[in-house]
Formats: sequence, structure tokens, C-alpha cells
Amino acid sequence: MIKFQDFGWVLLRVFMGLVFAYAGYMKLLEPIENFRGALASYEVLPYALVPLLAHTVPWVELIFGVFMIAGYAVRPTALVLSFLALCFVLIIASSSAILERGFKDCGCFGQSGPIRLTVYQVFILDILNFFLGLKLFSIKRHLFSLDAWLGPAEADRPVQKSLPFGK
Amino acid sequence: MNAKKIITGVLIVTALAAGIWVIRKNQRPVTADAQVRVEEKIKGPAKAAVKIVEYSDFECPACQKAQVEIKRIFEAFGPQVNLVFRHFPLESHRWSGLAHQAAECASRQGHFWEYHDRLFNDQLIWPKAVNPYEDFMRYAGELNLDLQAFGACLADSRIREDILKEKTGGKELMITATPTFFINGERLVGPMELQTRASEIIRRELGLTPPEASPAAPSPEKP
Repeated sequence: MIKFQDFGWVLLRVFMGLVFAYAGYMKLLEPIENFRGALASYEVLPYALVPLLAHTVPWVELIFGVFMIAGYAVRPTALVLSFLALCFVLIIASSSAILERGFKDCGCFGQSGPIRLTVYQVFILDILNFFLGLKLFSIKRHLFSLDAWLGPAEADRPVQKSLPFGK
Repeated sequence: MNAKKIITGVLIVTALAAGIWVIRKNQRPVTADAQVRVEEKIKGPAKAAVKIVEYSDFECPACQKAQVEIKRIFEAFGPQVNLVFRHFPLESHRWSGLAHQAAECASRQGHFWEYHDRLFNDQLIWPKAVNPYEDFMRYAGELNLDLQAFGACLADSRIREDILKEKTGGKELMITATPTFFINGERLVGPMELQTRASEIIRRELGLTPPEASPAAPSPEKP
């Protein structure tokens, strides 16, 4: 039986997916150097990693964000996005550049889109997304999802008890 | 994971990649050279082999930080580079618009770079003023500018419009943060990128060997 609470998880799942998909999409529309510059300015990550991250993170956000909205491979997707949110939290928390200069915009949603959140707002959002991702990971069945439509994975199927000699 | 799921996943990823590719392909390419600008504010020889275009905001701390690196680039590469300044005052900075107007007014009297340096040097002072108008007039006086003309220029809305036009040109280049640099067209965003990559790009443009192979060449590292 479907509970009312399950619909709430659907909404939260779509919300989390939208946040990441939008963030990735906006970054991909802009020249990649904009996000690269934003990452470098945090002065937290080794600079050698910055170009690679600038190219891959927006795609990871977009693809897994859309997976989340569509309800595709929700549990592993939730884990990936939760990990990503945790990384963002740690980067923001450990960036002395952000703390000292009080960046008004972290470049997290691209920098040309209509959504402009302060670093602190993004920090709170990432903490929420981290816990939401863990919760979504813990849920075995997701309503209104491609997972439900495409059928359970082999591992999730109930074990069919059979007699040792056939029927 | 069953085959149906794998195929669905591949289809989603392919559709996303194709969508982004199409959107990017249809974006209008604009170069820094094609931008609307107020009178060109250029430092260094006009025909230098390397042209650095800087979109900057006088009230932005990162822009001030980048000035150290720009100075170092000029020390290292001298007449082989020039710097073009473009206005990009950010809305989030209260007095930035007026500061850019003051610098533009100084430019009309042939003293842009001195005024530019003064604004960056005093970045901890004038942005905190209740009204920095007096500071801007004082800076103009110290540079022996015609104060009457300077004052009239500061009140001239056409100058403000010209600055905003230059900023609009920057927005068309999808500039969203300051400082943003174009070194012979190659985009660098922020002082950290400038510090890390500018020398390498300039060397490449000038056909110089990397610093490792040439000990006499200027080092990209800070002293």
C-alpha cells in the first residue's frame, strides 16, 4: 500500500535532482573557464586537479541530477550526489578565501543564471542534500521512478524457493 | 542491473550530451576584440605581440589581488605585452559604478592608469566611505587633473552609459566574475588562474621556451 509519506520522498527526490541538474546545466552553458576560475579561487584543491574537476563536475551534476529526477538507479545516484554534496560542504568550510573575503557567489549554479545564492545559502543547501541523499539511498523502492517501471534489478528480486528436484 | 536498465541509462546520457552539444554549438561566438568599449585604455605598446584584456571592478578584492601579478607580468615580459582595461562594475559593490566613472573621467584627461592604481591601492578606504565623492575628487586633485572638468564628468550620465555599454559587451562574452582576463583570446578567470597560467600562455604566444629549459627566463613563481 502506498503511503502519503512516499509522495513526500518523490518530491524531495525530484527537488534534489533539480538542484544538481540545474547546477550542472548552468555551468555547462558557460565557458568552462568560469567554473575553473571559481574552483581555483577557493584555494583549497591542489591546482593540478582544478582543470579535471572543472570539466567533469558539471557533467556529473547534470547526469546524476537527471537520473535522480527520472528515478533511474536512485540508490547509487543518491549516494553519488550525497558524496558530491559532502565534498562541496568540505570545500566551502575549509576555504579560507571564502571565509576571509566572504564571496557573495560561489559559482555553484553557474554565474549567469537567474538563481544566485550566497555561499552560506549554498552551504546549508549542500548539508541538506547530503542527508537527503543518504535517506534516499536507504529507501528500497521509489515511486514514480524509472526503477519501478523498468523492474527490479536481479539482486532485488525475491529469491524463488524451489524444490531440490525441480517442480 | 538488467539490460533494459543499462540501455535506458545510456540513452539518457547520450540525449543529455547531444542536447548540451547542440546548445553550445548554437551559442553565438563573441571575441573580446569585437566588444563595445569606451575609449581604449591601453598600457604598453599598442602593437605588442601579446594583448591582455582585463575586465575588472575597482571594488573587487580579487581584482586588487590580480594587480600584483599584472605588475609582475610587465616586469617579466616588458614591451612584448600590453594590457587593455575594460569596465565591469558589479552591482553588488555599492560605489563601484562611481569609481569606474571617476577612472573614466581621469582617462579623458589622460591619467587613467595613475587613477586606476590609486583606486586599487586605496580599496580599503573609499568603499567604506559614506560617500566617496570627496575621495575621488581628492585623488583627481593629487594627479593635478582639471577639477572642474572632472566634477562635471563625474555627473555626466553619458559616461555612466558608456561604462555600462562596455560591461554589456563583457556580459556577451559570458563574463560573470571579476577579474576575467583574455590573453590573446584565451580566457582566465580570477587572480589564481592569472598567477598560475598567465606566464605559460604568454611564453607560448611569444614562442619562448618553458622556464625549466631556460634558467635565465623569468620565473612564473612569485619571489
